[in-house]
Amino acid sequence: MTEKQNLRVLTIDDSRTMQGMLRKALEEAGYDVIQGADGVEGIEVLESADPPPKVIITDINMPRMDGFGVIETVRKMSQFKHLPVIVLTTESDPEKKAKARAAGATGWIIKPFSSDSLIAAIRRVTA
Amino acid sequence: MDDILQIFFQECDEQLQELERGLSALSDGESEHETVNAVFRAVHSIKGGAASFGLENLVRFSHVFENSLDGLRSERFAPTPEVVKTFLKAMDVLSDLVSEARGGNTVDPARVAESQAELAAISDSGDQSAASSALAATEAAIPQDFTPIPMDFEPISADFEPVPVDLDFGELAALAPAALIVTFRPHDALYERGDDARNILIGLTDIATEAGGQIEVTCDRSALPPLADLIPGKSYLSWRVVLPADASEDSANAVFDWVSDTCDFTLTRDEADDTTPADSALEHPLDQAEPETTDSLTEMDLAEPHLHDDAVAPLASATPLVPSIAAAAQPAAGGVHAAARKPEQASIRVDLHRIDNLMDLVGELVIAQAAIESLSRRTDASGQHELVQSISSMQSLTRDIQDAVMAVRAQPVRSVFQRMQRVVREASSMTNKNIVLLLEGEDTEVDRTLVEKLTDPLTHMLRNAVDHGIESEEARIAAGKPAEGHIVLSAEHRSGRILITIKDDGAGINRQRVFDTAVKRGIIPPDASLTDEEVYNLIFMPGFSTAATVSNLSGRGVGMDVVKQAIQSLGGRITISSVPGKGTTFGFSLPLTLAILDGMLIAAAGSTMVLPISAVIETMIVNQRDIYALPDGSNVVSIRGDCMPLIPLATALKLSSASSPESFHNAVILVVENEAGARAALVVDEIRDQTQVVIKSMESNYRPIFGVSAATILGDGSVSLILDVSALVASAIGQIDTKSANIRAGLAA
Amino acid sequence: MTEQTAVAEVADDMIVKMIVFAIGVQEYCIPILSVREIRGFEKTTTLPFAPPYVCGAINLRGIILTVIDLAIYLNVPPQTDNPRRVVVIVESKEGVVCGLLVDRVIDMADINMNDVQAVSEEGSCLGGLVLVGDRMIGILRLETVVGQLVGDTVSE
Repeated sequence: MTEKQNLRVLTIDDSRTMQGMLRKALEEAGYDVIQGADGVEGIEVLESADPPPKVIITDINMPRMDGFGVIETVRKMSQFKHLPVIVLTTESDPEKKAKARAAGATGWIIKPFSSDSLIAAIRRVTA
Repeated sequence: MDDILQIFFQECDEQLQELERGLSALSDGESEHETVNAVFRAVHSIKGGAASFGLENLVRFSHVFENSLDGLRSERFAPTPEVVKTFLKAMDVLSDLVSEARGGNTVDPARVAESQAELAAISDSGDQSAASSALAATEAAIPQDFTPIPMDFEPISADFEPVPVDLDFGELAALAPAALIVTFRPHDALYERGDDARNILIGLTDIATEAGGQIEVTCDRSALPPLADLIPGKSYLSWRVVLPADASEDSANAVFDWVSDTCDFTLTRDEADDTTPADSALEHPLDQAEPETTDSLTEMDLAEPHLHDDAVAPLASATPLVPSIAAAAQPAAGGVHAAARKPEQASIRVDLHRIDNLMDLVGELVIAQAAIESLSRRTDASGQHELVQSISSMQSLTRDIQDAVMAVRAQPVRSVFQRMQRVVREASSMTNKNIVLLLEGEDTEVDRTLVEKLTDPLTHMLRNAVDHGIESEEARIAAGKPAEGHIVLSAEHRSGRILITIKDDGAGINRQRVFDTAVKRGIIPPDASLTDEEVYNLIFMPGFSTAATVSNLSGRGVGMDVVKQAIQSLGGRITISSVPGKGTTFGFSLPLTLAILDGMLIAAAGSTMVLPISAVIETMIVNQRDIYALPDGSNVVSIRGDCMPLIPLATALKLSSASSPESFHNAVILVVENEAGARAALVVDEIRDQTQVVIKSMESNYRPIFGVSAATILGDGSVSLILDVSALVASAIGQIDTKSANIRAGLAA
Repeated sequence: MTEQTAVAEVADDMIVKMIVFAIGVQEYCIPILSVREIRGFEKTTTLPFAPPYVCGAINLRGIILTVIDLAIYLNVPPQTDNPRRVVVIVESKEGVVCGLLVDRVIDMADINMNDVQAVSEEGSCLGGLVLVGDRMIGILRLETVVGQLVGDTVSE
C-alpha cells in the first residue's frame, strides 16, 4: 500500500473552496498535493514541480487559461504529453465534454464530487 | 470541513465583488469579452462551491443566474441597461442568499422567485431557436450510440499466449455460465491522452470484484511487430477479458464511457466460455512493448505487479470505480445547511511579492543584528563608530519592515466602495430617484481594519446624498439639469492620509435652512455669526435634521452626528463644501492605519505625551503681550491677528494647578486644529521629538480619559499618553458635546 | 467514580489557595488563580483625572495597565520608601488586568471558605475576614476593586 503515498497530484482550480476540498480529500487519501490557481499558474507549477505530478486535475472555467488550454498545453509538452489529465467541472454540457475529450483529457469528474469518486478516478488513471 | 466552508464564504464575498465590478463595467457600456466571462465565472464559482456543501437555495438560484449569464456570454442577447439591471438585482438576491447560507436572515422566497423569473425571461428573450439548434448540433457530434467495431480476434495465433491476471480468489469454474466477455483495442489516441489500457483493466477488475468474482485477461499480441520495428506511441495490443456472470453490461459500458472514441470494444455474453486459463506466468509487460515512452515503460513495470497485489485488498474493497464517477453528480454526502456557527476567522489574501519583500527585509534585519552584536564586543573607537552606523541602518530597516507589514495589511477600498452601489441602488429606488454612483480610485489601499470601519459611515453618507443631496427628478428637470443624478465616490492618497470624497450634483446645502434649523433646535443662538463651513458643519451636530419630511430612508433615528463620531474615532476629519444648485462634496480625511500614528513627543507636568502630528498646525514661542486674560480665568492668545483659546496642557488635564498668565511668557505653544477647523494653542513644557508610535488602547484595562485618545509605549518601555486634540479644543472653545462632558464630569469627580 | 472521592471533591471546593500580602499592619489575601505575576514597583505614568489610588499606567510586555495603590485605596498611609513594595498583577473574571501595589507579599494560605466571616454588605471591597492561626486576614473582593477601575462604577 505504498502506491498512494508520495503520489503527487496537481490540482488546478481558481476556486479556493474547491482547492481546499481537493486538498483535503487527496491528502486524507495519502496523496501529495500541489496546486495552481489558474491554467497559467498550473502549467508553471507543473514545469517547476520536482518530482513532477503523476496526474493533473483541472477545472474548465478559469481566468487567464481555461482547462482546455491546460490540456492542450500539457499534451504539447514532450515530458508530459502522456500525463493523465482529469477534468473536474460543474459542466455537464456534452459539448464541453466532447471538447475536453478532443483536447486530450483522460477523465471527467462532475462537481460536486465525493472523495471516493475522486480517488477512484485518480486510481483509474494512475494505477 | 468547517474551515473549507469558511473559505467558501470568503470566496463568495470576493466573487460577489467581482460580479459587482463586472456588472458595473457592463452598465457603463463596456462589453469586453473578458468582463462578461469574469461575471459568468463569479456566479459559476459560487454555484460550484454551494453544490459541494449542499446549499440548495444558493445552488438553485445561482444555476438560473448562471444560465442567464451564459446567454450573455454566448451573445444570444446584448447587455442592454434593462438586462444589466436585472442582473444587478439578481446579484443582490444572490448576495442575500449567501448571507442566508452563512446563518443570516432568511431571504424572502418571493423575492428569489421574482428575480428568477426575470432571469428566465431574459434567457428566453435570447434567440431560442439558435440556442436549441446549437445544442442539437452538439449532441449530433457526440457518438451517443457507439457501434463497436468487431475485432478480429484470433484466440490462438503463433505468438499469442493468453496472459491471465490471476487474482487468486473465487473459483474459476464459477465463471462458466453466462460470463460477460469484453474485448477492447485501444487506439493510439487513448495513449496520447495519458490514458492506459491497464486503467480499463482496473475498471473491469472492480466490476468483477463487485460482482463477487474475478477477471480473466488474455492479451493479444499478434499485431506486435519485432522490437526493431516497434514505433513508440503506437497501439499494438488488444485484450479479451472474461467477467463473472453477475457483472452487468451497464457497468462494463461505463468503463468505456470516456474512452469510447479512442478504444474499440465489444461486450458479449457467452454461455460456453471455452477460453481455458493457461497456467503461464504473468508476462512481463516490457515484453509486450506497450506503446508508451520509455519513461512510462518503467512506470508500468512497477504498476503491473500492483494490479496483482492490489486486487486482493484495495481494489476488492473499493467501490466500483467508473460507475461512481458517473454517479458523482449527486451532491456530496453530508450537505451543510446554513451554518457558520464558529465566529468568522479573519484572514486576508496577500500578494506573494509583498510577503517576499517582507522576508527579504527580515533577512537583512537578521544580518544587521549579527553585525551589531559582533561590533558591540569591540571596544575600540572605530568599532564604536561602526556600531552607530549599524544601528542607524537597522533603524531604517525597521522602518522598511514596518512599511512592508503595512503593505501586507493594506487592502484596496474597492470592497467597501462596491458595496455602496447597492446602497445607492436601494436608496434611489426607495426615493424614486434615478441616480448613478460612480466610483473612482477603488484601488487606493488602506489598512484592512480601516476598510471595514468605513462601511457604516459611507453607507450613511450615501443614503444622505440620495435622500437629501440629489433633488427629485422634476426639480432637476426644472433646474435644467439632467434627470439622472450623479454621485461620485472617490478615494485617493494625499500626504500620508487617505482622502475619501462623496460628491453629488444635487441642489447643494441650503445655508439659511440649516442655520434656521440649528437656531430652532437651540444648537446656536439666533445672532450667531458663522462662516459657510461652520454652518455646514451644523448638520453633524447631534439632534440636527434638515429633512422637512422624515423619509423612511433617513428617518431611522440615526443622525449625521454618528457619522462624524465614527470618522473622528478613526482619527479622521470631515470637510464640507457646497455650491448652491451645483451640489455638495463631503471629504473624509483618514489615517492609513489605525495601528501607527505619526506623533510629536511633548512634555507637560513632567510627563512625555504624544500629539498626532496631523493635528498640529505650527509650533512657536509665545510672547506675553499676545496673551489676554479673560474674566473667567481662561486666556486667549492672538497669533498673527487670529484669536484662539490658550490651553495650558498640564492644567487642562488637571495634572497641575492653574497657572497665571505671567507664567506663559516665552512658553512653548502648539497651534492645533480639530476636525471642524477650530483652533487652540496648547502650552507645553517642551517639544521633545517627532516619531511614529504604535497605538495601544487603554480602554480594555481602564476607562476612557478626557483629553486622551489612547496610549503608546516609548523606546524606554514607559507608557506615554496620546492626546485627543479634538476633545481638548472642543472643551476650550466651549463646544464640548454632551458625551465628553459627561466623561469629564465623571472622571474629574 | 466512588462516593468517597466525590465527598473529597466537595471538601476541596471549600479550600481556596490564596496569596497573602500586607497593607500597613493589616493582612489581605486574594485567590492565587487570579494572580498573573508579581513584579517590582517601577515608575508609572500619571493619568489625568485618575482617582487618587490610581498610581498610573505601566507597560506589561506591550499591554498597558494601571496600578492601584492598595494602601491609598484602603485608607492606610502609603509606605513610599518601603523597598519591599511589589506590584501583584491580577486579572479579574471579566478579563481586566491591573496591578495592585502592596507593601509586601507574605505567604500563601489554604483558606477554607466556610471559615470566612462576613463583615460588610455586598459591593464592599472587603469580602470577609478569616482567622488563619492567630492572624486575622481580610479577603479582598477583586471584582469590586477592578470594577471601579474600568468605570462601570463611577468612582468617588
